[in-house]
Amino acid sequence: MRRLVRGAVTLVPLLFAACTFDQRTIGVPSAQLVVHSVLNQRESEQEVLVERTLSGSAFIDDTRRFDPLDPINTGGGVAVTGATVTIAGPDGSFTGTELNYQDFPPQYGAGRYVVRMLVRPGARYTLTVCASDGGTVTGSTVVPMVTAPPLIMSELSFRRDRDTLQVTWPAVPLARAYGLRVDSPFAAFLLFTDSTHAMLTGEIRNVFASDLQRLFIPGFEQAYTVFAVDTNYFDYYRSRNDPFTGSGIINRLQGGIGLFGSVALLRVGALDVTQSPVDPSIEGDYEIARGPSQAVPFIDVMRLYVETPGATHASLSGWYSRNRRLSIRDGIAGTRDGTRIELNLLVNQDAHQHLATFMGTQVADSLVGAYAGIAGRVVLRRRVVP
Amino acid sequence: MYRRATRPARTLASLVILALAHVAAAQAQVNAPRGRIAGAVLDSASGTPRRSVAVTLDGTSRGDMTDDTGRFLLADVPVGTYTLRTRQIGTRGLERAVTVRDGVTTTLTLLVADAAVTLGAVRAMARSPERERFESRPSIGAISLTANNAKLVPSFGEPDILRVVQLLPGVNARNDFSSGYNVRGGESDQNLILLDGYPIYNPFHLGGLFSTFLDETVGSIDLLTGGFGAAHGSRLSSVLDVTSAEPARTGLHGTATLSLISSSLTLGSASRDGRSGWTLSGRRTYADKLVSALSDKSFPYHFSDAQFHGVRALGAGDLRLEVTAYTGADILNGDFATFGDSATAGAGGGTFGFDWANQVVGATLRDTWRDGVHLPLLGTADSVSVAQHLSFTRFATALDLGAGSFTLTNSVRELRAAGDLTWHRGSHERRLGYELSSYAIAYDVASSAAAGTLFSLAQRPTAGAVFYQEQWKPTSRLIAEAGLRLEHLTGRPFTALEPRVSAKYFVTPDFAVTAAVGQYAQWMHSLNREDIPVRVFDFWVASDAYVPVSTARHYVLGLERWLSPLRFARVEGWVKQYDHLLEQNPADDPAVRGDEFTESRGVSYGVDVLLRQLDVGPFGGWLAYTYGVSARSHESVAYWPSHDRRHNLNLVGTWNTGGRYTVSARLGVASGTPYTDIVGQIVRRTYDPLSHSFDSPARSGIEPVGGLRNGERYPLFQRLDLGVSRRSEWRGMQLLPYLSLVNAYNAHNVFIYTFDYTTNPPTRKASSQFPFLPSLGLTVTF
Repeated sequence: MRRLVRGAVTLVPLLFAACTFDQRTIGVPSAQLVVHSVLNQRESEQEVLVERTLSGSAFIDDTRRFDPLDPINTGGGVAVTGATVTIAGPDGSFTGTELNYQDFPPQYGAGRYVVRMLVRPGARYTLTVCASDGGTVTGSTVVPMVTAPPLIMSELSFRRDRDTLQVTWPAVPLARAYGLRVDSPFAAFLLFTDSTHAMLTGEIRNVFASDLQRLFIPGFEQAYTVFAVDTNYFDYYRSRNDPFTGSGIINRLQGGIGLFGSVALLRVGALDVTQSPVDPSIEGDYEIARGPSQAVPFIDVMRLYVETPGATHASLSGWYSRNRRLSIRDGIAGTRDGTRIELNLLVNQDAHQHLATFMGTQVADSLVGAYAGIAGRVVLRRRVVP
Repeated sequence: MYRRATRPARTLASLVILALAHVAAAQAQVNAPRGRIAGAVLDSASGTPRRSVAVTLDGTSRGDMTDDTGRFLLADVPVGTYTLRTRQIGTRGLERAVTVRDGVTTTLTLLVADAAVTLGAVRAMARSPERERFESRPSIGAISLTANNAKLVPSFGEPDILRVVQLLPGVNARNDFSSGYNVRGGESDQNLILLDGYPIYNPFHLGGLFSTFLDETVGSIDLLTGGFGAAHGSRLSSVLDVTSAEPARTGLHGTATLSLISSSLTLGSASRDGRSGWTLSGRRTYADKLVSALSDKSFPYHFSDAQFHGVRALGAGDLRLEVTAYTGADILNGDFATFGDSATAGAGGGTFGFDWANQVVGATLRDTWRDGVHLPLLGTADSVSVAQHLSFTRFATALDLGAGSFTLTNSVRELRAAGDLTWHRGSHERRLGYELSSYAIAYDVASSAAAGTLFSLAQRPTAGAVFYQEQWKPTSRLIAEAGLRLEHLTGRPFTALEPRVSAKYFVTPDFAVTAAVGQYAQWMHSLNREDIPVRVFDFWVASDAYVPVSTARHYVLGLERWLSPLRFARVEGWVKQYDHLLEQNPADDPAVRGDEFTESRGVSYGVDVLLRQLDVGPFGGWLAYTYGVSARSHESVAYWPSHDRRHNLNLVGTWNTGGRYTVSARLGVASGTPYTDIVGQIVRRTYDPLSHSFDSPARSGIEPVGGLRNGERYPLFQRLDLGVSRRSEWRGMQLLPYLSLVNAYNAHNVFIYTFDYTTNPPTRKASSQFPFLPSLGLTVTF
């Protein structure tokens, strides 16, 4: 977090920086191997992502939707295929395989290697990645000594204007620190601590979000996890390369950049975030009254909150479901500008991924408008007022 | 530890008080029928003080040169009636009959007017302060500027003395966006900056774009770029002493300045007897108000300053009390819901607060005794000056992201007592003094909404120093100065005896060879990284059990030749060796004390050239050129520090057209500084332990990957600034509108490069330093 602050400090004068000029193409430098892998003793398949630093050798298409099964291609990276990936530990040496998916493009999943192995608590593991065109990356990690399975907490209703999240966990031998992660639509929140407890007030702002939005957003089901981490994980994620010198990451790999670390889950929970009524004129549960002629509407039912009220602008949030059984529920992030309503229907509760965008106005107890890019009038009628 | 340190403080204070008592006793023995003449010389048009005016008394050997405040003092004048004369290049001489009475100080205010310059006459009449220093001091690496010098240099927005300091030989500014500076290859935290002798931390506003010194409050600036004497310590590279202007006009008067950036108002007054005066000044930027008034956007930043300086003579002698107080703050408080593109944030954006503030308050008691003063150990003196300073300095910053979700605070407090005694007799000058500083440093990172304190550091060291310095002029050709400075720091602990020696040999009366060597130590360190090209301010940490004291040795050899009474040239070669240079460790662990810094060693060497035309008369300015090389090594890895600028040329000139207009120009040409080339980008992938997968990089980001540290250099820097001002009068007020054209031909000087390796082929673009920036302003003096 201190690096975040320093980054903020150094970027302030850039607000006053003048124009840019002299844009030119430059030569393609030699790329370095980049490896990301974190051993998780709860899992039987360990994932190793092998790629290269971006060097301008290929155009990066950053418009593709992220796919966890094809994380490098859809995540703006340059995959390294055909590498030999080995993880050695007390039970021997295990080789990773690059999965081939049928009915997908040839490069689908490239650079993603899966090593099938169980991870022993307290053991040391060594990763070796040999690229087919040369270059070897090695690293080692000592797994935190957690023998008990993680404590799965039941989902809690969390009224953010009233509640505080408090979590405690046991001390773990060989753990360098503990991470508390809370999923959030704007950016995951990650806190490292040496302590065995943590507390987050419901109104806390997410300092990892670009606009400092609140961490807990009403209408969202937000997972939180507590995990013990090794030194590599702790150092890698508490550091970053600054934009001026390109240095700062604490890298413990040899022959490349990245992370080979280990974690052990301690606590897993989820919060169904709500809040007390703020603006009854618009908040409540809505259902579709009229929509485009398609099989499944984007919104069948939804709940809307005024996340942050304002005289002219307001921030809206909530959830929507494409069927009334609520089997699939996702988040809404929106705005109200005067009478104009804009609702982004998110995918995986990620504010950067939109399924569709509803734009309209409030007319009495209804929202009347249309989905962006789709012909047809949409009417969402409020049926429950908070 | 803290308690123990107060014992030497009490001892030192007792010694000073004892010395003062002896001086007073000796003074009482001098009891002849004599009086004094005191007064001030002012410009008849503007009422501003006239510096360096020779004031003489016919028929006696008494004479004095007016100081920065226009004041003079003729002491021990036998009772009688005399003719008093003033002389200065470019002003009409003045004669005034004056009667001196026994035990009485006769006060005068003399108004002088401009006159045509007659250099032949000047040569025999008066010496400039620079010439006087040349003749009487070793003056290694010493440069003096008046507020007028600074005022005339074209600048963006408003005159700024730190910007002018950057144009002096041996001084290097990293880029246009920083008021910070590097002196003779030293790091930017190695400069001791004093306001009336009181230390001030981080005297910058707006990320280093402006200094905290209000132009109208500045009387003079003295910069010591190396080899300085034993009276100064605690920094490795330089001393910048900014002296407040003292009012000399009676009645309430002032100056109002309106610029594109800010407005300032300075008020002041002096008593009729010239024995007291005060100045009060304030400044505030108004971009925030303008943006709010003219649009629905917000610009949540402003800075403000206020400064007071007062002097008062106490009793009938030369005893006087000087008080200086300064407070300034930068406020960057806003809400992402209204700042920037609110369409993306809606109302949900959070508040942020980022404030930093400086406060200085200090008092000085000063006295001078002349003729027959006897001091134990030191002997009988022609004159003795004593000064006792007491000051409190505070710098504090606070960052608050999301209403307490993440907070960072840092504060440095320094309570300082210092005193010195200067003893003159014939060709000898002896100076002894002490300094005692008690620091309180706090650095805290916390989250009131989360886990409480994330990092906390508190330090309370005390630093003490005593020094003795003797200057001797055994022959008309040689001036030698030798000093010793004993420094002690609690907390580490650290004790060092630092010798400082300098000498000047006059080959001819106008040509001298100078040399100096000295040892220096620094225990206050900045957490900032020198490689980062912007510098909002420094986070300060003191040496302690984990953090060593940095040391340096200076070796200076120079030549100075006076080409005319108003023009001189100086060449100085210098070598500096550093040990225990500290640099912020980017891999420091917040849970571990002692890894905040990495240590390095270094060397800097180079040559400074200064050709200066004193601005008495129509022309003034200087040519400053520095060739310098700096190298550092850390764990046997050698690199060029980011301020390693090899060539730096600044040409500064002003021309008074003889009428109402003054034209000024500055041309700067410099070789590029080193930077670390970005050789690629890495996609940081964030692991989610719950899903056992890596997140979308949209949540993680792409970060640059640096190559060889400072292995590349930016291209040549060049900049021409032009300025013109017009002096006129209206209803008794002097109006001075000015126009400045910064970077007049819009040279594209690289600030930083940004790289994009997501395209094929990869691209690089440059961000410029100051583009062409015209600015207007108006100064009204009343």
